Amino acid sequence: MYSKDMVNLLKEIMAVDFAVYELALFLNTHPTDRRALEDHNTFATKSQELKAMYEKKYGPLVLDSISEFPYQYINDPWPWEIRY
Amino acid sequence: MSSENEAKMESLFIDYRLAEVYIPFQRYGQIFDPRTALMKGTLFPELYMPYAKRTEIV
Repeated sequence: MYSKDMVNLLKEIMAVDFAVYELALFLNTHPTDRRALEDHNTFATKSQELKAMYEKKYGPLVLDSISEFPYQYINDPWPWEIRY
Repeated sequence: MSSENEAKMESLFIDYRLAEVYIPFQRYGQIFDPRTALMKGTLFPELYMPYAKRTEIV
C-alpha cells in the first residue's frame, strides 16, 4: 500500500525533475546564462534531496538504489498501481 | 517510368523558393514553479501556447 504523503513526494520529485530537464535543455543553447544555471543547480540539488528523503522513507526508487536485506525494490507499488 | 509519372515529377520541380525559418533566440525571464510547469508542459511562460477553441471563424 502507499500513502497520500508518498504520492505527494513522488509528484514533487517528478515536477522538480521536469524543471531540471527544461533548464538543461535551455542551457544546451545558453551555456553562459548565469541565472538559468543557478536555477538549474538549485532544482538539481532539490531533486537529490527529495529522492534521498523518499528512499529513506519508502525504499528504493530506481534499480541502482542501495537496498537493505531482503531486496526492497519489489515492495514499491508499480507506477501503474498508483492513483495520482 | 510512365510518361504520366514523368510529367508529375516535372511539375514538382517548379522554381519555388524553399521554405526558410526564423526563430528568435530565447532569453531567460520568468519561469513557472515546477508543479505548474509539469501541468502546462513547459517551464517557460513565453512557450506556453495551448490550443484554444475559437468561438468564431474570422
